[in-house]
Amino acid sequence: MTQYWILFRSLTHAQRAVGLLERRGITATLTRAPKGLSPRGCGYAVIIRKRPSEALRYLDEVRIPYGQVFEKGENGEFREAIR
Amino acid sequence: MIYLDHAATSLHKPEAVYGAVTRAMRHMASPGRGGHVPAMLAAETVYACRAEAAELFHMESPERVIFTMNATHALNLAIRSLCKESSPVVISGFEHNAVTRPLHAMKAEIRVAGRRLFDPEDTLAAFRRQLPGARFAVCTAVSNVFGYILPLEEIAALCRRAGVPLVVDASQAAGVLELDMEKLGAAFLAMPGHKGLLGPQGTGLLLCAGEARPLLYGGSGSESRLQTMPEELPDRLEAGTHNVCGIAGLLEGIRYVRRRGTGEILRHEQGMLRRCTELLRDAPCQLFTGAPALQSGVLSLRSERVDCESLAALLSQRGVYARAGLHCAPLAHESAGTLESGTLRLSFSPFLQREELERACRILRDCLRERLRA
Repeated sequence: MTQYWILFRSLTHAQRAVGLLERRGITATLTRAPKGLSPRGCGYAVIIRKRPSEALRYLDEVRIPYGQVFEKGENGEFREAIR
Repeated sequence: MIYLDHAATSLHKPEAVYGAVTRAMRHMASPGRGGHVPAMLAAETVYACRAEAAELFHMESPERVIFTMNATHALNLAIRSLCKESSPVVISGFEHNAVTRPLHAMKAEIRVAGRRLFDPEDTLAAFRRQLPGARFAVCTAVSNVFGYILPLEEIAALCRRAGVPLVVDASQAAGVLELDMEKLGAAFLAMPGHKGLLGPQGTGLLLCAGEARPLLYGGSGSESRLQTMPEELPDRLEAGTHNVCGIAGLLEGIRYVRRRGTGEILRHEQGMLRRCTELLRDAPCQLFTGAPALQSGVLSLRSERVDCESLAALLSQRGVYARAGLHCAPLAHESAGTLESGTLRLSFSPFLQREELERACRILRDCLRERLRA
């Protein structure tokens, strides 16, 4: 199943995003971002499995800054998702 | 032992605070330093504390709640973010050295507004006069020496109208008075975690509505390749490892305050103040009291015949612990005319029992009488 990885520079922003998405019924998991996805070093990712557009719209609405968004396919490869 | 120095540090904490500190020490590592279970447990606790504090002080964004070592650290962050050399800064006549020393160090032009104790009209009139042209203002919500509850909402309104950013020192107010960051419209609200919020020593909070400059530079667990501090809060202001054990305890302290309610805590502490004032009314000492609504659970007193330090020492020998001297607030003492004598300060915690207070007052009266006879 495809996963959507939303990147955050700040752990706290990522934590807040998880809480707000969960409250909206979108299951979200927090993890460290893989090194290749965080060029500035030490980033965080929130992983969701469904409703990515709604999730991003909501994060924009509540003004939580996030970075790139990646799709992780069944084969484990990441590709940047078009927002 | 009867502890009457809650205004310095809360000694008695809710039971959950002790447990949380121990659990954190045993099971938690450092937030943002690794994605393993102990690091993530620490991250969850630290975030929960931010969120709880944001709720208590009506802030929408938990990321604007910054952890500091204490209120002094928080005030330094706020003051150093706003102050430039020779900046005109308005402060109340009841500020602590945590406010005045950083301002002096930065060579600010200090304008003191309002010297009359328990006189909100005087305080407001002075702020009204002094605010035009000021770069920012700093005001304590409650005097740590006299318990004077300053007219903070009105001062904040004056600052908003004058376009002057306000820094609130909530050291004696957090956990006791209802403080609404959004309604106040303050730039910063600084407080310790170890007084009214009932957390461990070594904790503090800075609530930031305004833009803040870092005081410390170092690791933040984020954007590690950059050699500048991250732009985003809280990372920008929180260099170095967090005091996770302290924050875990503070979280439980704040939860207790939210459950019991600041209104109830203030009523309890003011009830203690009233009883104490009744019991000491005819004692051979001068009590510094104001109208009931203008004073929190802090009572300063002095005797013409017994100096305050000797009185505190006598009380201590008999198991009553209170603080004497200038309480790191010479400006407040100067305003009240007690700079030379200092005062003995009694301050009441939300856990103080009426019987304890009555016993302490009997002991205090005995000490005063014995000294007067000697």
